Amino acid sequence: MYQMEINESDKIKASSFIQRLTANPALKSYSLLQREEQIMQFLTVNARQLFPTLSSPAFFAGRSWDEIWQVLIAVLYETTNEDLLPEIRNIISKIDLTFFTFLKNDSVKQESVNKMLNEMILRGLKVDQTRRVLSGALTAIKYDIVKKFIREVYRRNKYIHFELIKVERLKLGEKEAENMLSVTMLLRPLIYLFAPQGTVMKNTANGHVFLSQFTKNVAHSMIQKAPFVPEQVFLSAMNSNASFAEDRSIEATARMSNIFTAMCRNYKPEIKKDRGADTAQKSWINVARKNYRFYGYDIKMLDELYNIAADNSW
Amino acid sequence: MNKKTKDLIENIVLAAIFLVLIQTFIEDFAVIRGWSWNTRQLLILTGFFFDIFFTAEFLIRFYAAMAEGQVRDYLVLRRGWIDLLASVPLLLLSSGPSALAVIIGGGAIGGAAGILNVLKVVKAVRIARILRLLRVLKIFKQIKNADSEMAQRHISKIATLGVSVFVFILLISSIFSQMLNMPSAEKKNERVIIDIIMAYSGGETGGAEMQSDLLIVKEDGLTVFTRFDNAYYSDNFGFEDYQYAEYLNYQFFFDTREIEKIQSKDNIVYFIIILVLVLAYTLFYSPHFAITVSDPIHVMRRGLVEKSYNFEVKIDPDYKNDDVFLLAKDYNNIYLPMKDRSLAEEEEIDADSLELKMDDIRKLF
Repeated sequence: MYQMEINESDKIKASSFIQRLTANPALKSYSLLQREEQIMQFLTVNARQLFPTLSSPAFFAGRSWDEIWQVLIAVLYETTNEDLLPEIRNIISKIDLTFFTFLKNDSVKQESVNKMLNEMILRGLKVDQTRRVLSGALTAIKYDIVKKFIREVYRRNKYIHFELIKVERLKLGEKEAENMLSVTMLLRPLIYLFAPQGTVMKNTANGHVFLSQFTKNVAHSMIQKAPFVPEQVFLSAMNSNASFAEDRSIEATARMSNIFTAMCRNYKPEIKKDRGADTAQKSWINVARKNYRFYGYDIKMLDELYNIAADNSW
Repeated sequence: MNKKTKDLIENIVLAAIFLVLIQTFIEDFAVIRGWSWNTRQLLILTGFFFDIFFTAEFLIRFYAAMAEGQVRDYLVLRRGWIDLLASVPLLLLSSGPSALAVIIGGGAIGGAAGILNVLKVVKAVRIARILRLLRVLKIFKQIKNADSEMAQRHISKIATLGVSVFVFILLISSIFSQMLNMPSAEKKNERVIIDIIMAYSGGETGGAEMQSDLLIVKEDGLTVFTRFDNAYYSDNFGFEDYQYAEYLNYQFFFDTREIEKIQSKDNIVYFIIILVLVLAYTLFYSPHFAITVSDPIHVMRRGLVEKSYNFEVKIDPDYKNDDVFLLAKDYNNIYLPMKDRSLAEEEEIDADSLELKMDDIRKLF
């Protein structure tokens, strides 16, 4: 978390520098959080080359690289947040939360729950790793990736459907299941609010894999803190950070959430597929099938998603 | 020479190739449709100027290649031999003599004194014309019909082979027909000449009229028979449209336009065959080559070079046992998952894997 005090002069200089980086055409096809990650990685990789210029009188004279880094990152987050927060608010407002009522057997005020979900996610955005992992969730929801796959899952009525309805015992229709998955994916990165500090950021598809005991503990802790969210949603959200290979009792929604956020982590909707290449989602899922143990995915789920992607040329 | 000028010149050459193909077609079409000699003269002269243009193009390219010590590279690898065959021989043996005949007035029957010499080269002109068909291949040299250089080269090579074999077979068969003294209009006309002379000796003058191909009969330079008036000959007959023969003190002019029409029709058919052949290679073989060879290789190469590129190769079930697709299968099932795991475990970020490069921000400082 970066909570350092930044003076106005430094902020203006950093802001001008960051604005020009974000406006670079090379980053045009990236989502807000993907773009942010690219800039952070760029600053990390090129620190040695950037430091002499950035520590010159024109920028941050006499500052160490750590100090410069903190200023730049704080301004980068602020710049990203200017567009990201309205985007998150918009995404949450579009999710129909009536499934909370089914799960809790209690009426739910959509507006207040929306507000509380927003606040939780905003709190999470102060943590680096949460921002990295949230990227996939936002992309998956924004580009209807969850929606289109869930529609096919319900139409086919095979393994995933069985896992959702019979094993996880979710008495939810297609739309409710889609909404539950969306909320699960949005809450999933909040595990980093509880994870030990100093975790090294990796450019992996799905961040870290946690022990299921830890994810369950985090879920129970969150249930206490936010009772307006159904228990199943928190369990699913937090357990999506655990490996199915380690714990076979992980909820189907958690397993799906894990797969979708990872799939959309580096997804670029505008990317042009080369002639001779397979489709983006089919390619990703097939690689995931080969590495399912490594990431802790459910192979049967991947097989079904692969068939869906192949049949629909996704 | 800068790139812009070079591109402009190449585009002019390309436009000239398209135009000359149209001109070639129209020239033969004009013969079939019996267009006036004036119009056909214009087409002959246009063809002559095109041949001058392509000869100049060849000589410039050849000189440039010679200056760089790359004559073999130009003639063989860059298929300069097509430039050569589709320019110099045509200028010397086809359009050049034809244009000369037009310029010195060899069109009108019984016109200039040089007419007989011109007529002697007509056969060579006809044979050399076949080489015009090679021009279709010049388009292949100019147009990039595939993204991959390898695909471009393979398609060009196979098209060149197909078209060249076809053209050379036509050329050789034409030369052989001349050498083997095959039945021809000349032979048929020899028989007509004997009949006519026998008829005139017997005092009959109606025999000439019966021979529809016979245009004029002269005895000691005086016209004893003519099928049309001079104005008609002037408007409709070029040097290729009649055959001249002498026997004793008689001179005979025969109409060869029907033979010309058959030859022009054959030329158009050959022309169409070659165009269809080239189009078939471009439209059918080129995509097939791309799908089964160059595209999978391109995808695998990007996957090997670019860290974030994780698209699989699309394997066509019909060709799954091709070497390329067997390799692609291993790329999909072994290499990509391995790369993905390796990237996931990588502690340090590689500058090459980022979209943003230091060069992008140099001007910010």
